[in-house]
Amino acid sequence: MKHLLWLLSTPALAWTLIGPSTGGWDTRHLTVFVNPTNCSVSSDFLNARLDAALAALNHVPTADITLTRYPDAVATTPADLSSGLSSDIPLIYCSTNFSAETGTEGDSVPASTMATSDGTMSYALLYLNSESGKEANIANIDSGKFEAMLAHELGHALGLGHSSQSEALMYFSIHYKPAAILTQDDMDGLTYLYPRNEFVYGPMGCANAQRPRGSSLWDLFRLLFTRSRIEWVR
Amino acid sequence: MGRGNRATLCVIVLTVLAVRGHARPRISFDLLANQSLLSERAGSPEPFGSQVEKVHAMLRLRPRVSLGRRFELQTPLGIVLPGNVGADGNVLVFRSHLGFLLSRHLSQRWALGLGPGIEWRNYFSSGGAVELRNGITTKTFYTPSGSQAVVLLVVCASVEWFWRERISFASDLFVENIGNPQRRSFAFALGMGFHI
Repeated sequence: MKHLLWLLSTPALAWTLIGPSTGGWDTRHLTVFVNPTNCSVSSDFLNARLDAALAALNHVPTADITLTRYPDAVATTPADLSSGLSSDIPLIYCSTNFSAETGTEGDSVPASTMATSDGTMSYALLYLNSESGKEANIANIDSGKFEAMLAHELGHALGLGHSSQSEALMYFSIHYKPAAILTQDDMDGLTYLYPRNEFVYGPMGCANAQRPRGSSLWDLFRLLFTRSRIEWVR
Repeated sequence: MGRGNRATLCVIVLTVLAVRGHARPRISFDLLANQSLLSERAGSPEPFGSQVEKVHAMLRLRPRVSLGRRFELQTPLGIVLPGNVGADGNVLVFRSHLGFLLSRHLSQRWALGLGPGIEWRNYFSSGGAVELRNGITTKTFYTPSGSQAVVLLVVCASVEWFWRERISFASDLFVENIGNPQRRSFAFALGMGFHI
């Protein structure tokens, strides 16, 4: 039967995952936290662009993940996450020392994400380039590209890797992206990680059925013991 | 067997029993061109050209059971045929749908149908590593290993025009996530039916 389905299947495009067994987050509702302290753009601008990026990701009809922005700014730093003082994850953080902190070239890379690359996701830290004098500082990016960049990094935070399809949001470069626009390739990737099953979770299933979500203590435990499986993606 | 599989099996068994309980059903084979759109694209100021799914061919088996002079019950089972969408072939998607339509013949030539349906998508991949650009360097990314299933409830509407006794033309609309404006999407199908 499986072989018959394979013969009748349509090849999907070129989406990938960030790790060989990336399984996505263990929840259907994920809250994104923002620390705008060091940002080279205003907090209102950042929040508006982030809301647009979240809306683009939340539109996928076949996926079952909803992202929301935590309404208040947080003061959480990467060090707080590393030391276990906070579990405000995923966290968006503006870095004034972007090149050194992410180990990349601040003149060409506007953002970088550090995320769990194996198994169930429990950690994602989105660094935005606020390093002064750098060409790829987020202050130099227009609104549409900013939204595309945030949606791209959030795609990594959800477990997606890069796509070889140049139109895809998850293509390595946002240079030609006018806005946070997902292609079918991106949607197939998100659907694979977070499949919608309306028999189980929708109107035909148990209305209160939720994927189990870890407690904050469990989140903290996973955070502390999954360090070796966290990788950088740009 | 999971809850989803049990429910699917129940629906199929009930359909078969319903069909068997009536007069001998007529069956038509439909060959359709199918295209999906997201509702947001219709009113969005942004161009969504690359987001629209490409047109796929769909083959459909449509059993029909008469319910009096004007009404009939249809249980169309369709599969989207494999197509070349410029893929690298690492991940395959199998798409199918099952509908439960109550159809009313408006005249000898025209019929309108409406009812719920189910859409399946199965993703298959045997895994593998891919080296792709990552900033100014490259990085290894991975295609998934295993399969994943998506089950969506849809609302189906159908308009059919009977050209000859054994040939009709059909236009179908499938609405996914009808109660969720953020995720609502539409698929259109247009094609020809051959009745046996």
